[in-house]
Amino acid sequence: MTGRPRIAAGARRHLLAGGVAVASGGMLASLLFFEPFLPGAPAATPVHRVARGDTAEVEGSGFRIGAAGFFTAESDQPVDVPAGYAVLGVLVPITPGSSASPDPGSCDIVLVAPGGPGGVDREWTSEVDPGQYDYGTTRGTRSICQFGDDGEKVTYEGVFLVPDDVYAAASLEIRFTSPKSDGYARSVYRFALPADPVG
Amino acid sequence: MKRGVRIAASLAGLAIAMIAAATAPQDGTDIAAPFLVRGVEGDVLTTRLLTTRLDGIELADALEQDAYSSPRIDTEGQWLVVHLTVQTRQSTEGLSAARLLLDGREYGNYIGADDDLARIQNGPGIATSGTLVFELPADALRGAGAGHAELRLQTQVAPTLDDVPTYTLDLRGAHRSAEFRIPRPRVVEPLT
Repeated sequence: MTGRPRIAAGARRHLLAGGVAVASGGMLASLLFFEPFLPGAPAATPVHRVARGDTAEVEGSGFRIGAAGFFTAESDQPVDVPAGYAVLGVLVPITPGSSASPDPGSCDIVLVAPGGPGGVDREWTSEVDPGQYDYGTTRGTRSICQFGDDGEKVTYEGVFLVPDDVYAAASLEIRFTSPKSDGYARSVYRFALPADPVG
Repeated sequence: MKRGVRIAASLAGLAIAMIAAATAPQDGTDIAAPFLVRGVEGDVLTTRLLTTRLDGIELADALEQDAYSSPRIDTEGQWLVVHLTVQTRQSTEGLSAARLLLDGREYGNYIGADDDLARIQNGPGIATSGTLVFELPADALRGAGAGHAELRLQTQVAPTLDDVPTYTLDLRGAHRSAEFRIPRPRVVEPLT
């Protein structure tokens, strides 16, 4: 007769605190369980490997490596760089197909190779003024990655100043950003360089 | 006895809490402070993003550069010119957030020069030799602690939990000139 009122009084006294403890504990447990499924940093963009000599089809246009040259100060066609460096030139013909998108988005080209700190790839952007190294670009090529208009075939020429031991491990990476209508989705294609570069 | 143990345990807990409170970092900057990798002139320092070498320093009253718009840069104070060779390790990096700590004051590098190292965009493994310049007040080198300065070659304004090449500069021994022409950065043989 005397115990029940005492329990009830104790329960009433701790009801709020108990409720808060159960609710916050439950929420914490839920958060820990569902955290991996919550939206966070976007998943890493998958990298499509393009074998030597192959063509990648993107937004109806074909991208491939037409030719590559690797020049040092000691090459038959020398460039003006100190010992330990080379100039790597790459020609990328970009050929719109019959299904080429009128609004293909944009593209960006870099040279990548393993060997960065913490296992991260190293990355080189194309030289703005390759003439400073006595490298002459090919007539009619473009220095920025660009889809051709109205079926026009264009050729991109990337020129990279790199350490002279980098060619065997390097790849040309083209990063595409699709137009607004496709939510600016990104895709990455990594092209193997020719085995026998000029120079 | 039990009561005595409880009191002793309580006092011990209180003492631990006081020590923890007294030794805790006062703000977040200490917790996330960068790791300074130190060296002096001639040393090659390697950090996560950079390999660097301090090649020398000098003081000048005015700067000259190959620029049509402003070939001469004057100052009411003086210029500290820092000669460096810099090589990045992963991709291109900017040095426009470098800092000079002198006599309790902190200076950012001057970013109005066209040909200094703040603008280099060479990729990893490419050693580039050039200069950074700092504009100092006229009285900056007269203070008691002005004999030495600390140069931090940071790539961000506020680096956190990252290592930063940091050189101690001997300002007393610096060469002085009326004018210094800023050389164009040039690619030199690799540092490593």
